[in-house]
Amino acid sequence: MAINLTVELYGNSRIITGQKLVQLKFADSKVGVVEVIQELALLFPALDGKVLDTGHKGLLSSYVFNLNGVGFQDPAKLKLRNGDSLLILPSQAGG
Amino acid sequence: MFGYHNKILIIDVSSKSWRWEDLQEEVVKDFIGGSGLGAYLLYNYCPPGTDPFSPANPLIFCTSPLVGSRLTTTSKFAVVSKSPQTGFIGDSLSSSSLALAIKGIGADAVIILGSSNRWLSLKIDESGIEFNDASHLIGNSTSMTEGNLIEIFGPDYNTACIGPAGENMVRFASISNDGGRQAGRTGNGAVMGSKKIKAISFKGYKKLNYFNEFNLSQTRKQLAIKSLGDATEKYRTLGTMANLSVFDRLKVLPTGNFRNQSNKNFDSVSGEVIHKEEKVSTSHCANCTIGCEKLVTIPNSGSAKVRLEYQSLFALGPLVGISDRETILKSSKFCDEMGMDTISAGSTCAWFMECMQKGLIPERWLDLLPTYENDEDLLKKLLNAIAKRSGIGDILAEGSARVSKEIGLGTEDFAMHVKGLEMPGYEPRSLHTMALALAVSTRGACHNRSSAYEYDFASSSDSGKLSRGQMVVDGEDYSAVMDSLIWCKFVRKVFDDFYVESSEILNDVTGWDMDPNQLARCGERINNLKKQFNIREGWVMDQDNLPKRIFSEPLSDGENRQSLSESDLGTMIKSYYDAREWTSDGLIPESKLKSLGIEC
Repeated sequence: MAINLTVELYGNSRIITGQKLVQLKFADSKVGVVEVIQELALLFPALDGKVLDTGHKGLLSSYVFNLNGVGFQDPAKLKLRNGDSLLILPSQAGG
Repeated sequence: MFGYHNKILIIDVSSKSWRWEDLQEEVVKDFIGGSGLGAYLLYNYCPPGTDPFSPANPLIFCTSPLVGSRLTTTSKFAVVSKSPQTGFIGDSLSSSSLALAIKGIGADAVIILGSSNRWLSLKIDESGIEFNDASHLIGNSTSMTEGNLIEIFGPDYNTACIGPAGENMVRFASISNDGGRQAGRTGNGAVMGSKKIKAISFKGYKKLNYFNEFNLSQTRKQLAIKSLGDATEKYRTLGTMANLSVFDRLKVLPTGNFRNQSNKNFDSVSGEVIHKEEKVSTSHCANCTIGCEKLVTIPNSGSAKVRLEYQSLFALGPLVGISDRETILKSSKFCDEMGMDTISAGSTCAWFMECMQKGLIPERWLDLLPTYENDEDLLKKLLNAIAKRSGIGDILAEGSARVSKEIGLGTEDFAMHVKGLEMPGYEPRSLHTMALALAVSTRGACHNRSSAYEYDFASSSDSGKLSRGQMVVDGEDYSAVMDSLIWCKFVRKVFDDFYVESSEILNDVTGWDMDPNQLARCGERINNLKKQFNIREGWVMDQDNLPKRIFSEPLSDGENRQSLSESDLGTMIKSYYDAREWTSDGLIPESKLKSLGIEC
């Protein structure tokens, strides 16, 4: 079953892409953050090395994932479902 | 001693005299410098029970062993006094060339005692002190004052000054330096005003020796490179204003005086939109590689720029229910020019606006209000009145805690402060570790002396099995070491192992043999001394608390309910006291003080 995800971009990721929201569609329901990262890298190569790690396995340590604006979880344990919003946020909370 | 001058300059502005005292090595081994040394000096130089506006309240400027080392972000100083907002320890940090100039005169700390009978501007250099008449500077904004003194003394002098708010002893007045940087919180500007000191200008180039200059030069290079990596990306790109859109999305952005019922959209004041639609430039403190400062050109104001931070953006925008960007930028600039803490100023206005809406402000006070067109206009006029203590501003200049206590009628429940210090932009109903830190902090509702929000923003697996009490203790002790060495907080993630690397650097500076555990112990000692100062000045357990609204008004967006009960906070406070090895009443046992080497 296909699933639709919304990726919300914050901080410099929004400045680089000029996008606040990115809609992604995956044919396979077993989608994880690595697939999301690879899709973003294709859509926005400028994120490479600035937000996304160059191996396209995850985010640089300056960014973190948050699922649906609710909880911060280990990316490896994230279970993405149809209709989820995946937030990419700056990891430094200070200020 | 390497890294220190071993000297404290003590100035009495009543008698216009000064003297030098030795600073003992055992003191700085225990309290390091910055806010730690400031706490030690305050404890010893402020007589018990001193009124914050009494001549006996010392106004202390502290440098640190790293000032002058040219390590990135270390050009910082602490200002410490008994706070006119809380009646407890008041300390705030600021940065840049002034820190180098203070240390350059040969002082590790400068303590100002007494009170002048006329306005003074102090000129301090290696040859001595001039107590100059400052009557011609009175009424000047902070930037005008700095500019005037550069014209008079020359550009080699660096100045700390107050604006009209400090002159008028607005309880949340700040001290400004280096073109608008602020020692903002806890009202040190009001203490400076109470002493009738408009400005203090320093010039000095006294050199210090470092124990291992070779190692330090290597560390300088390594830290400079690391400071430009992922760990500081947010600060270098958007600065702290990047927080606003994130906090809004995560529902941890307090709005409308923490009612959080606003239907307003704050997108237009997010860091991302400001960067896109306004002219933004970057500035650095002296010896800083990061460059977190974002100077925003204010629309319709010529070339005027404001140094914009998240807390100012929050306090003069969402907190007062305002989303008009130009109003926020102008208000932030106005507070900097008048020398007022933006958080306390915005929070006091937010409290007043809510109480007005609820019909709780006495008629006689409403008569003192200037006419206004809308909320944006009202905010600007309230800030103006507060800085000048004119009309209603003379009342609001006391801060929301004092004024609400005077009115009564339940308005105290809407005054969003802890111990008299207004709350920063972190929502305690959602961020429970932060809630605990805000409640127990020795300087009142403070976000900077624990960075406890980091635990709330981390995944649960990162925090392990620590109790919230232990998390806050760890955050406070770590912050106390940072604020005493002094590192900028924005460099904290640059370290792989903070205590190991910082102790090695401290040893390279001083020639000591301090191990990481001993350095961590300094943080614990500093926080215990700060608490002991507060206990001496009348702290009672009820003051470790949060405003009633936090317990009685849960947040809800339909699906998710964020709340914090009074009993949950009580449980967390108990776990904090346990982690501190304090009594169940939050007092410090004699044995604990003794084990830390604190003599009271």
